[in-house]
Amino acid sequence: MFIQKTKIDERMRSNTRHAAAIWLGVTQILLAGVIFYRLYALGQPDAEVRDFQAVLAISIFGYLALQLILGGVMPVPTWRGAVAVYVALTSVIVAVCLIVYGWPKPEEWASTWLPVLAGPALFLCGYVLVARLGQWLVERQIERMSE
Amino acid sequence: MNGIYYIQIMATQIPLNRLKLARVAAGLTQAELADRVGVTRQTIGLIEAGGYNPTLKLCLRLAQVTHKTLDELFWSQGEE
Repeated sequence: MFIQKTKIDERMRSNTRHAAAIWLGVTQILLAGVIFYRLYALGQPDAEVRDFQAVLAISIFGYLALQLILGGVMPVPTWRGAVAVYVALTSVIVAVCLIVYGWPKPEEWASTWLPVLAGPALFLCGYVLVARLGQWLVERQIERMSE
Repeated sequence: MNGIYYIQIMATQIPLNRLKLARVAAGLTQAELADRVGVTRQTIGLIEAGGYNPTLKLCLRLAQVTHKTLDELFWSQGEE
């Protein structure tokens, strides 16, 4: 026999998961590097890196969402907590945007104020939904296994 | 605490063990023990050296094969 049969045990499975997580991070960093290189070194327009940005966003948020769902232990904020986080997050984004771009003209509000105000709200809603789904799945699994 | 959440990273302390003594007492080599519990020889070597934290399932299997109890095989630091 030229090839020896390899036994896959729990340590190797754990190492595989560890390696996958590390390499996912490396891939995301490289992808971000490609986006920055194209935008700022090659001077390509934003529209030409939209596909890379979409892949990077799906990769990062998909990973976080899966962690939340599978873990089922991430903190789920109360309504007051979520509002406080929203106000803090939006204030920081508004402050940075005003410093960098200045006050927008009224005809630009749909493309300036709207994403700045709706973006953090969508992000928080998504987080709460996914975290609650994760908790619900784990609780259901515990109930089913305790029966 | 209301409204304040903490993310606590749990310490992964590897339990101490007497696996090597138990294995030798049972007259088994690392490879034989590995075969009987369904893991690789390297995994047994790492557990004996304290370099790998085995799952409870594997601990139970090791205790069964070496005819020891879990308490006799594994314990945590500060507990003798």
